[in-house]
Amino acid sequence: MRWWPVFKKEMRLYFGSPVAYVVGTFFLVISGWFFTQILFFYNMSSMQAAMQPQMGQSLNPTEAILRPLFSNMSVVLLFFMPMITMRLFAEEKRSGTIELLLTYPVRDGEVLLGKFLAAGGLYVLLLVLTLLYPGMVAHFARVEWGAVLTGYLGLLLLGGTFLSIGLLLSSMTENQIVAGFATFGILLALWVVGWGADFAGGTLRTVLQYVAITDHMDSFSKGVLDTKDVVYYLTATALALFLALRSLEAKRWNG
Amino acid sequence: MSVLRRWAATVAVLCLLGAGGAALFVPGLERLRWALVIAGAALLLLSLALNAGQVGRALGHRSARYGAGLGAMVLLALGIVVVANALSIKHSARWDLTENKRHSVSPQTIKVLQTLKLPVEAIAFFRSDTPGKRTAEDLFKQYAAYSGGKFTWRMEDPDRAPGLARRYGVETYGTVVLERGGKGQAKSEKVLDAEEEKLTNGLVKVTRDGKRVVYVVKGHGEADIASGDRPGLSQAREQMEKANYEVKELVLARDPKIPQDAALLLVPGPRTDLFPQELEALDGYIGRGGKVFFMAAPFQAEGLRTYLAKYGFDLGDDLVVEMNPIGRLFGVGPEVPVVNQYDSHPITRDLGGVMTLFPLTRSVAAAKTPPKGVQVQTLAHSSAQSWGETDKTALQRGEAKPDPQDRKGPLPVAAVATIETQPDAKAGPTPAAPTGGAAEEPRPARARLVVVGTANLASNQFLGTQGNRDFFLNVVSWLAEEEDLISVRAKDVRQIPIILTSSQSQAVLWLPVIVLPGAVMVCGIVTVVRRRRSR
Repeated sequence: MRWWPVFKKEMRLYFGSPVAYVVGTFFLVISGWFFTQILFFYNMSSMQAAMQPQMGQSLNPTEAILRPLFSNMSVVLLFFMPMITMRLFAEEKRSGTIELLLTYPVRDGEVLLGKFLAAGGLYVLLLVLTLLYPGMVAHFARVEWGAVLTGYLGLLLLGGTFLSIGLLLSSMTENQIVAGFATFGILLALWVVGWGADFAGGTLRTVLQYVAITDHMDSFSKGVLDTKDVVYYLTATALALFLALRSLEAKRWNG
Repeated sequence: MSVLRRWAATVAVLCLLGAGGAALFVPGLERLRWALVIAGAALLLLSLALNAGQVGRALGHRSARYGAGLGAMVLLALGIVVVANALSIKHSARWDLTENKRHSVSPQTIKVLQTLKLPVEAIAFFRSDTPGKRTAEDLFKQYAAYSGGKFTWRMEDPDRAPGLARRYGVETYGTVVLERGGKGQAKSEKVLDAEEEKLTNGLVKVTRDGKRVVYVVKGHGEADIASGDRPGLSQAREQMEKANYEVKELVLARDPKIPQDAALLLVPGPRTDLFPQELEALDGYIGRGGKVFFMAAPFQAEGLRTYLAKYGFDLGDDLVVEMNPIGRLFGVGPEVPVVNQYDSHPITRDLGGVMTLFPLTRSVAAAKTPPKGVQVQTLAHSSAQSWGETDKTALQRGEAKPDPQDRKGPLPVAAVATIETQPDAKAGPTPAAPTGGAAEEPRPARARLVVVGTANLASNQFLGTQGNRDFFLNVVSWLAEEEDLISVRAKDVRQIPIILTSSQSQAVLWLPVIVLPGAVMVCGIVTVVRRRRSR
């Protein structure tokens, strides 16, 4: 339980300073804007369908509102997650407090866990606020809650992976900007790597498709829970955290 | 030498990176790639040899030892992650939490995919803005996942690959070409919409050889397969052709012989009795394991009633009248019984709870004591509120009511018989047997008969209603011993429109974009101001 003080300290840092509020405000403005636009578009399609029923458009809130909403939100996360994590270790390294932290009677793993859970806590709070969107959809029409559940589970797992990668990069440098940009670069690369799959062939194509983060999020956002997607996110998170731990340890003997 | 010593390693790394890049982004160029790999490896070794002293010193260093340990651990972790993911791909479980399971393919499709013998590649011609692209991708991914590597797919833009599109004769966006692999057996099948039923049936067709012929008996006032009128069978013919059957007419009276290539024979409600030599031809056909689908409408061609009795069918001399009000929902009267009770049989298994309409039908029961070698069972029943009206004159006056002598519902309206025939039948070879890609084991000839009490089950007027099409096609494919061709009801994505009033529109704009983020911002300002003050 010795990760708790680290967790508390980080939470205080997030919520005692403007960080959490600024990130939260902009995240919600952008996600909310996406949601509004999608819902307005759906409203327009509904009106068109009402006027021309023979057009036979498929009007399903899960397919046409929640699914694009979830995938848009995951793109937004791509930009915001590095900002949540970039400070975590880099700042301590720059100011030298990392030496203190590592000499405390707290194991490196507990420091790491505390910081990861703090960043995760902030993220979960943001997600909880976004429950407003499915709530509003449910006010206007019937919503398939199973699909909402998988969508949020997917966002949670995806966010965990993003955060752990951010944490890893932050533990490797003492410059916040470098940590932030490197995280963003890696996340973006994981995002677009699937696009290359179309031009590759054979095994490489399969591997590229599998590594791409998008494909795994897609099944969550359409209401399908597949163990292989869960395993993908969990192992990616675990790997990044493991590497971060090694990187902290390397600090001990590498100076 | 010093130049080499200094730069060999860098050049080696560049070579290896170049090889990797070529492998990733430039297909072909195999030779260049290998040349780069070999050059890179050679330069790396050279650099190690030239810098032996430095390398040795570095390796002796404490941090190098730690570094090696770290490298090993990282590699191990990576290995575990790769293995865990590989295992999870092989053994994954999947739950579709949408209400109508619209992202899951049917058990029939899964069966077809799991038993694929030849590799099949689907080439889907979609432009990025073609509607349905995403649905198609969803389907393909699932197909690939269930096929154990036999099914592969790729998306092509017909505008960017016009040559490919021309080669397959693709004219519309959204066409899917299924191409069978295997040596010297290339065969392809075009599917115009990427829907599960069409794709799966396309798969079945592309992995199978030859066409099967359905002969439709003609000459006694039967429903006409060429006619597009309400009682005609043109849509049924279309559906069978879509399922890769060839549909031909057969005038038995002119030539009382059933062709060798008949997969099955359809007798669509003759109005007058068949001639003795026609019945004899039917007997001969059934005797060598033929498959016949009889539609025996009430109060006409009563000779069929006595004929079918010898194969274990008990056709009622009645008209089933339905008093269950459910038929009103479909706008049909009491003369169109709505059937939703089915007996367990391959034909009805996949129908689930879907209703079928049996317009103007007589009852068709299984004989209590069927002849030897005949197994007969009923398939479908009318509701408990129906009865079999036997009073023809009352019916003509339109005053039918359940009399004491009329049979009470539920009444069977369809039945099926399997007849064991002598394997040493001298009548010649058994009719065309299905070939499912590989050689089939020889099996004893078993004739199959299905009898329904109506001539209208598959008429243009009723084929499209409720489960009629599925029922009809299931009968056809069961008779043709093609239980692998499937019929899946499209999973309707429910239409749920949202039409906002102007005040709702305001709320949709304000709540998520202004109010919620604004609240967070206010919290932030309050916190920061408080901290400033407390300092």
